[in-house]
Amino acid sequence: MNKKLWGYILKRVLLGILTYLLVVTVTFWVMQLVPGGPWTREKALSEVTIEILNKRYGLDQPLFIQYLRYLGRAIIFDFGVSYKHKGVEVTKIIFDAFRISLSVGICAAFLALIVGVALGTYAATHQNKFFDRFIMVVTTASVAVPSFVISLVLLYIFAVNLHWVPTSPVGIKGITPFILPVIAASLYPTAYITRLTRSSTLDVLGQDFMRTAKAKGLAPRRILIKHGLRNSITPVVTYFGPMFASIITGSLVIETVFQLPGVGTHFIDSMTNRDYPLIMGTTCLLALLLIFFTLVSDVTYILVNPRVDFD
Amino acid sequence: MKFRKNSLFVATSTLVLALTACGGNNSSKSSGNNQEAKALTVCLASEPDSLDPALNSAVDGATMLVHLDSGLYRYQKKGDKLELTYDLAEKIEKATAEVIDHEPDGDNWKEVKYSNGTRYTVKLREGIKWSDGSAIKADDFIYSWNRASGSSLGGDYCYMFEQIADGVAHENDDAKFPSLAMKKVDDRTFTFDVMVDVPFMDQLLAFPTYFPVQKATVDANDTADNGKWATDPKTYISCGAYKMEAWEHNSSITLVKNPNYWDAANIKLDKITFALSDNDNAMLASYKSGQYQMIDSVPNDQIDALKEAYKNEFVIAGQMGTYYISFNVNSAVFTKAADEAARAKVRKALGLFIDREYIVKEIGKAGQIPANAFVSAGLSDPAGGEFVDHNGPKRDGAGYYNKGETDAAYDANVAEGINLLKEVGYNYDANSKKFTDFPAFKYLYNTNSGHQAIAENVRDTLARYGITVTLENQDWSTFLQTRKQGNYDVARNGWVADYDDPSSYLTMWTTVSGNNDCQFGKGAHKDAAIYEADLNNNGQIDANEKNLTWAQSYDVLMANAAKETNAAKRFQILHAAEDVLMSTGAICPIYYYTDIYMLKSNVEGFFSSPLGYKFFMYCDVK
Repeated sequence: MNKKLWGYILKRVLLGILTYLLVVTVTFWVMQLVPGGPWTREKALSEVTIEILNKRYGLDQPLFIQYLRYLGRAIIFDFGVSYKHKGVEVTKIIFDAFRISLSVGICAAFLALIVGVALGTYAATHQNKFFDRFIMVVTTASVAVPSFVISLVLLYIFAVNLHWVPTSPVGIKGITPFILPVIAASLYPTAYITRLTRSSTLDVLGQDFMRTAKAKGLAPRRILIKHGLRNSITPVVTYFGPMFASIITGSLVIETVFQLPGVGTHFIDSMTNRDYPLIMGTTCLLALLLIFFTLVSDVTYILVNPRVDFD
Repeated sequence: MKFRKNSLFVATSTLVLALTACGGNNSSKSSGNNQEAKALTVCLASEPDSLDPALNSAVDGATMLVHLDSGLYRYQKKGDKLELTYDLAEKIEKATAEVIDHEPDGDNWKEVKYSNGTRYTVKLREGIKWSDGSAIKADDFIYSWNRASGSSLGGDYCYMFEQIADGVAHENDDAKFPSLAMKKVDDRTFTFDVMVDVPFMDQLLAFPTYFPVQKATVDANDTADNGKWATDPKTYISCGAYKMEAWEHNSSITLVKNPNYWDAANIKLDKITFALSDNDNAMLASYKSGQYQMIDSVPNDQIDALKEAYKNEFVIAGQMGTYYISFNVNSAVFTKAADEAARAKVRKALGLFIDREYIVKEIGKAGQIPANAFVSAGLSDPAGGEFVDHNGPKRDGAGYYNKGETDAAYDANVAEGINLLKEVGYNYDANSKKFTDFPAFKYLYNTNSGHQAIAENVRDTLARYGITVTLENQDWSTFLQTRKQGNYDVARNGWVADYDDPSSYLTMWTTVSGNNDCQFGKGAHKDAAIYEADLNNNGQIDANEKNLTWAQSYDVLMANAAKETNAAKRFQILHAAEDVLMSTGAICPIYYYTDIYMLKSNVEGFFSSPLGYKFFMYCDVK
């Protein structure tokens, strides 16, 4: 069993490396297709200046040479300096920003997991009662309302009007500026996990083994936690990995509204600015995290549910 | 069970609150209970690209730089006026001298002598120091200007040194021409030569690209790439009223008073924190909560409400900038117009239909001024007043369009537009009051709700006259490329001055300019010999000044203006150049920009310049 598991992980790691290289390749060539370049300015640069900048950053080389160089850099995760943020290394930009997104993301992801599983289980065990209906309405709304609306509403109520938390982290020490972003970032996954847990718990509750456990006279809470939850949490585990990777790489909307210097903003800005090294850096980061957490999620899935076959 | 109940309560109460409340924003308790004495937190824009004076090209970056660094001149407010006074310079003298410049000659460079050139002699103040306590010397200026203007650095604003002899040669090949025409006399004195003594030289000397940087610091840090020294407070050695205390990238930049600045005694504010954000809604929330004391941008849809609610804090200031529509003169769309002269009429007619008053009042909403010329309001004229006071064919300030500020004036514009299109041969149906055969064309703009609103207005306005416009938006970088390459029919455009001189506007339309989006003098337009220009500068069009091409008219006027030393004559040429430009109809001005910002009423001593720079150093927080 263990040997089989390690073999599976090795296979997935190799596949992950291949996926990563594929992402680098696709990103590089797509970047070349997009019109406009890093030196396009409203007040145009002279041809001489553009020539010098192209030479400095190796953009005067044939595309295939540029591609090979990018590939080499992506492997060692060194993307050079940003074209836009002059003199700043891409790895530093990403590292600084990722620390913020990671902190907010971890808190939001676990808040979503705990609250989502709790609410989902509660709703399932109280099916069609008031709280179940209420939770379903609220979670549907949380999924449907765009996050910038929710973020702005939270900002205006708790920061601007009530002054419970600051509106931005500028000049503020401590964790207070991060409370609202964590809540805002957790709303969608909370709602999603609640609904997943509810429906899978409802499935599990109807299973024969649950009836057997009940017939044996086990306490309802014990049945639910020991026999029910372990089974009903399987779809949540599958969802959690990719969700975790996406939530810790930040959200443009939440970072913009709460003025957090996270990594989400760089995804969009680097594209707008045609900042090739930063585009590559952010894309590679997201790809690596997605690959890693999907693997973690799949392995956890197997550990939680030993019946799952490796093939 | 207890935990489950609690978590349920917290989660549901949060959600209920979030979903039932609708963003009440009635808090105007405002100002700074939590702010330190003599400190301000302000928000202008997002992270600047660079705070290396030689690499910055943004207005918000320039505002930070006028606090961190200093040049030979600085802006100060005297009464209601802004004045340029000496900063690091003690004295700057001018004398006539023979100046040698190197100018392009095919693939080579030729030496050109200017016997009536000007030599500036700059004497620096005694005892001026960098923020690390070391002396600022003449060598620092020579090093910094050569660095900022040289081809090796590749700075956006290297062309700002083209006024200095050898500026163009150095900008193109600093291996062959390693220095501008500058010389050190002693540690406190240096000279530099200019071919023509332009009237805006003092403004250039106050421009951030001309600020000195410390050579030792740059050499030690910029080994791998330029500008690295300016990214970290530890290595940011400055020479201005402030020094950098902290830079939380993408979040904030904190400046504290520099005790080594020569005029530190008169700097009132101890600390400035620049919050870095470009989201209007987030900025406004922080302003309303009292966390920020000044914001440089507000959501467009809230302008009316804010003007009303914050009467003493909502400010509309003038800015040197023009929002306009540019036509590609080589676009094949208006083919029924047989030649360039007829096409100019078509473009002019379309410009007459635009309802500037509506756009300013209902879309812009920020006090913008309807425009009837290309060079913006706010630029000075040696004849007194502003350049716009003397524009238009009659030099009476009437411009090149009626602004259409009243219904009757707008109707007259429309009638003139209809007549022009009829003259060209388009078929006008008097019953439907629409043209029946005007070709549909595309209006290009960059993705942005404000530009979109104007584009939609233009489309709807022209539709009233039977003219079909389809809208196309592109992301910023793609849009710039499309426009610069001339792959468009009609596009939104805008220009903000770098300094208070019309050349900052008009130079961009010469044939070789990289900003010649209208494609004047290129392609088919190169041969269109239809322009007339007062090349002799005698106030009239002589026989030999008619039927000129773009290169023979506009390019010559701009070259003449660059050489003219007499301010009055120079401005006559610049006005004549604007006449030629506007005769093409390819520039359809919409409005002159304004600069809107909000500033807490307890902050005194703040001022801004029409170039958009904000000055906080003399602020007092009551």
